[in-house]
Amino acid sequence: MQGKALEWAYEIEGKDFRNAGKVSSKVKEILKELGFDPAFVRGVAIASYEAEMNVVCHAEKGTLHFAILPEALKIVVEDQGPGIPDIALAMQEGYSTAPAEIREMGFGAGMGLPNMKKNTDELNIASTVGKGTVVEMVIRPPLPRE
Amino acid sequence: MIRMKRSYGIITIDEDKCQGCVNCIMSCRTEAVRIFEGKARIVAARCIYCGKCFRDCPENAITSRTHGLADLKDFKYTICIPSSTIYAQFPGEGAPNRILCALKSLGFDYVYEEAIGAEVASIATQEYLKAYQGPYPLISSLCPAIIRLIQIRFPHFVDQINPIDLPAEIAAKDIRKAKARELGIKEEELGIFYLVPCPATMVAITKTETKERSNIDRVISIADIYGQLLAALREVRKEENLQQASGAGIGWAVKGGEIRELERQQSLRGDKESIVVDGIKNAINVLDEIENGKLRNVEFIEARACPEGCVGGALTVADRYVSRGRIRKLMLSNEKASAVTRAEVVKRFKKGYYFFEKGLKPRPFAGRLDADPLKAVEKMKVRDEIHASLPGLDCGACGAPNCRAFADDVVQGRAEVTDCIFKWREGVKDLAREVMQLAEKRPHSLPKRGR
Repeated sequence: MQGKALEWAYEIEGKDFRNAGKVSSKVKEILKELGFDPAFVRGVAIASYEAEMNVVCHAEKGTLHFAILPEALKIVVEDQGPGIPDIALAMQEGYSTAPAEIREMGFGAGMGLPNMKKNTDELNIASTVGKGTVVEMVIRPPLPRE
Repeated sequence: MIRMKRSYGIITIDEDKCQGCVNCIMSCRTEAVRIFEGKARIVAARCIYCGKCFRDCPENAITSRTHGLADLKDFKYTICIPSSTIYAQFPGEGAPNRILCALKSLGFDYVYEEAIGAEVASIATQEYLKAYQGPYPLISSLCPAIIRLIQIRFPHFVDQINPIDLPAEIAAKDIRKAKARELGIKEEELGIFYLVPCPATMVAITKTETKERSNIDRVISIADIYGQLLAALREVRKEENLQQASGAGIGWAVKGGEIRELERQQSLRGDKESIVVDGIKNAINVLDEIENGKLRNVEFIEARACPEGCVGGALTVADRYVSRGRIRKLMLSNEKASAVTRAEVVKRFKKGYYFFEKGLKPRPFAGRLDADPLKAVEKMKVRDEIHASLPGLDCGACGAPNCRAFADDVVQGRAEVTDCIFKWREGVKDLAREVMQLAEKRPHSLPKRGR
């Protein structure tokens, strides 16, 4: 896909659990229509869902930017929220700062960031406590099978 | 009068009846129907053969038919395998054994219940679950419309479909062997007729993807022979004993029947959830949430395309809700010992007897915009621009079910933007404005107005 970039941006509302997951579903539908490998699409869906849920669970609001670049997919999720004080700690499986009521709903198991890492080729997190977080994910599709 | 009928595989649209209204295009959950030149047409690559449009067509113009009772003469000995939904098709007096006897009187030599195959399939699934380590969830293989939906829309899940064969296939394989031996005739001299509740099952048998050739020779819909069966039911004088299946197998005709038996046999782990979902839209939602990772820790999914399960099939006759009640009653009153020997099934399971012979294949590209990724990206750009310019009413007047699907059709060259009556009106308005402007102009040779 040389030289042609396609970009989308979707708003995510904090605490809107009813619509949680709709943005990552849209990302998934686009990739399916473009004919990406099903297993690859699944990985992207999981990574973008986790990023979306982090905004829903923790932040006021956020935006998911999704771009198809010549060599890879790039997903950037930026939010206005509490930020992450210790990113290394947050990357550990099972570590969660989600409040009790969110955990009761089955979310906030501390697998969000680890799941993102598992399903991406690059994961960069920049966060300012009290302001917000930017999560950048790069995912490279498998080479087409000839 | 010569009737115009157009066929799409097993589905037929009677174009004399079709009024070109929008009911079918709106009812289809996979956006597989379009109106073209005033008649409904099916986009076969998107169709999952669920038959929902059969029910929603006010003119009854959409039907499906494969074989009939006339085919009985093709075989030396014939066996009918009725779908378990048959027990729900007649009011009170139609006790299961009486229904089977009436069925036999239509010309079959023997009747063998699909429900027996369901009992066997359940035991095989229980054995399969014992050693199953994931990936989760395991998805029921019973509903062929759901299977096709997964192949097209959730190709990643194809490997998670329970590889145990359809109950009717299992029943056919067993009874063919047994009867050929008993009668001393060749297996191919036996004709096995399967009485089905839906078009998806017809396709799953006639165009099977899980084996070289189906164990079933002919497929007839319940709706097609309902009238004859009803008449025969009144004529049954002496009953022979044909009904062997227990509630465990009969229950598969309604949603939840498959999981109910797995739970009763304590085959589900308990630390995970199991889901029963009916209706295509609901099934799409559940599969979508699992694919995203939103729904987790699910062990088994029993998904059925038709509301209430197979009793809601498009080729059944009785009301689906009444049917569900009738089957549930039978499940409770038929808790008798099964005709199936568990040890025998387990032995055969271990030899691989009940598995699909060939794995199901994903068909992911039915939904993509172009085989060439570059072209697909271009088309998506144009599609989204067209979509943004449409009114967003999803009125269906263009022949597509909604504005996005219409934009898709335009970009694929199957429709023109002016097929949208709003876009067409805009065009007419622009043209009218241009005509007015031209009409205002006067040639230079003439004096200006007002002089």
